[in-house]
Amino acid sequence: MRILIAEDEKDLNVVLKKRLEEESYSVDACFEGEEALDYIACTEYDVILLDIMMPKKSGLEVLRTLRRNDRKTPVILLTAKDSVEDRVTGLDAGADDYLVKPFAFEELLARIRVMLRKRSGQSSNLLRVGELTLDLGSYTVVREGRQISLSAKEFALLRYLMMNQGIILSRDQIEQHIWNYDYAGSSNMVDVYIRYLRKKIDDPFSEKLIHTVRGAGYVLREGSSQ
Amino acid sequence: MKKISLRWKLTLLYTLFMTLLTGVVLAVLLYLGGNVLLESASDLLKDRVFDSVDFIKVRNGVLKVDPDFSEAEDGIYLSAYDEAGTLLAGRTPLGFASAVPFQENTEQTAIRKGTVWHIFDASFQIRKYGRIRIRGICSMSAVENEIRLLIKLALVLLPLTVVLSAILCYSLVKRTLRPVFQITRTAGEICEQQDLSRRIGLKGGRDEIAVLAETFDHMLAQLQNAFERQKQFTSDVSHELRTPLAVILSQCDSCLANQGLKAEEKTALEVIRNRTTGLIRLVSQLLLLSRADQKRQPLCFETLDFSMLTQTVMEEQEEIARQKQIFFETKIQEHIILQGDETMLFRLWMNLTDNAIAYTQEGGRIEAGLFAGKEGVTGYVKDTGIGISRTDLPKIWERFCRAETARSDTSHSGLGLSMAKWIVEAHEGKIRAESEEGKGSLFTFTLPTWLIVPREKGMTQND
Repeated sequence: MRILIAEDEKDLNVVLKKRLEEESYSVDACFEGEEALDYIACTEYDVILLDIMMPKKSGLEVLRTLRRNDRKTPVILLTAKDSVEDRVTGLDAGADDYLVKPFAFEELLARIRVMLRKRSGQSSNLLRVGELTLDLGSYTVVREGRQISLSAKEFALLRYLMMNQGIILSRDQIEQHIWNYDYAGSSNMVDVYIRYLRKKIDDPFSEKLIHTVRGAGYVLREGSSQ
Repeated sequence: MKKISLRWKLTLLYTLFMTLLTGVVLAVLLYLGGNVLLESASDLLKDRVFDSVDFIKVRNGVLKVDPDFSEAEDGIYLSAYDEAGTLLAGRTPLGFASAVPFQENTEQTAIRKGTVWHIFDASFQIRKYGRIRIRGICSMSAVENEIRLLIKLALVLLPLTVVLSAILCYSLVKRTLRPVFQITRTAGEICEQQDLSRRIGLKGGRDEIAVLAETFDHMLAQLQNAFERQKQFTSDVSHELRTPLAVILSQCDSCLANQGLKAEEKTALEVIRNRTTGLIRLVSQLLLLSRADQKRQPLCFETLDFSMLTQTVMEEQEEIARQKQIFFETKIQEHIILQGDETMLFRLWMNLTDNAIAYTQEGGRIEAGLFAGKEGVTGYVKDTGIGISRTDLPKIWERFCRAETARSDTSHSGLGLSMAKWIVEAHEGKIRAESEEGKGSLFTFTLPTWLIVPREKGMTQND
């Protein structure tokens, strides 16, 4: 799950990036609106955190440009206390949610989870594929009653696969959603990680959930590959 | 002399010089002093002899000698003789026979019972009596005693001067050299901690060393500035490059999505796309390394099964090697659990094996292994590739250094080994390369023991 932070207040920006990375999200951070649009143009984000007051282009302008281009990426606005008008304008312009600064980080996390659930059509924090369940809130993965311990990146990968279950994901897509710009890996990093994840998720069980689609990528689904 | 420190060398030289100087001065003083003493003694003897005539009077043709003549004042014995050599008056020291022949106006020496005697003779014409001879005898032992005392004094003074000057010199040199030690220490710390922000900061004084230290500080400031500018440059340039590259990539993608493309257009776009992807990776790696330079690249330590991680990379790389007809073998010890940054350790193995695959020709072989030992966890990748020449070997860890410049394959950034080195060092491990040109290379890294997690405390594996 890849998140973009557009926030010109440097301290908040840095803290948000750090905390979100600790929660296994891959995060890009920028400080002004134009840069945000560049980032958005190049990568498909799962959630965008937009500060309204930003130099060069305001958050609202960024949001309008985004929606005009028919991009449906969930956007959470970060606003100052006294800007009710901004919030209303923001929501009307296509924002999905807003948070008033200062906000509790836990609340931000919960709102992000809501956005992610909405996108994958889930209604709770529990993602399920067959006997495999992943809890977005408690970061636990269970298959057939057995708890599986995963590293942060493996969890992020599995979460992405499960949120897009049944959808074939290309290596590029996976790389874009699991790693931010800073970590662009070597060419077959995705394959290595999928192989690694399979060892933990699939190998000990008879039914395989992660399938390779030749020439296209990977898909997580129940039942044999079609 | 070569191995002695400057402090001791200076002390030694100075003390030697002081000793010589004191020795020479003392010797000259002793020589001159002795001579003066001797001369004044013999002058006294002569004076007494000449003055003694006043003690002798003639009255009625009879010699009258003052009793003072025989007093032996100042240790000078006077005696008067007639021309035949008969003692007329006065006395000679005990046991001193008149065996010394009479020699007028000449100083003679005689040794009796271990004592040196100086003898001076003179003859006088006494009115109304005739010629008489007066002999003065004087012992030189008093003078010699004085000289001996002087020598003793010198013998005590000389070593004392030597010791004193040595101590004085040592502390003086130490004091003078203290700023030099401070400079050395700072330079050492800068080397050790790679911290160019340190300064010598010598306080007070405008002497040569203070000026030197100041010059050094100035130079350090410039160095630090240059390094920081270079790092900042890399960082800035990479940032600036990344966005346009990403835009090119996304434009390529949207063009490629167009169904009505001619085959050659599609090929061209794909070439652009591939090269752009490569450039984006390169820029990311540069950024990562530049953040590492600035110590801003945090590692994310997790407990992980390093054996399983290694195995996974090897399985993936084996497939690539097989396509190149390279025999790929692994020797991986199981269940090595350690603390490490998963993505970085993946990358370490991938960079090392990518490197081996790239430099090994068809039909070659690669062996990769992992084992835990006393020194820690050791991993290695051995290949039968083209190897690295002796001159290039130390340079391979540098950025954009490719052992052989002739290689046309551009899929490698030239950052793989610098990255591998950084990853190992960020885990406080060591990496080294051995190679023989034309035969192959061996890359070995060791991660410290304290990263190893004992098995019972390790992660709960789902096996």
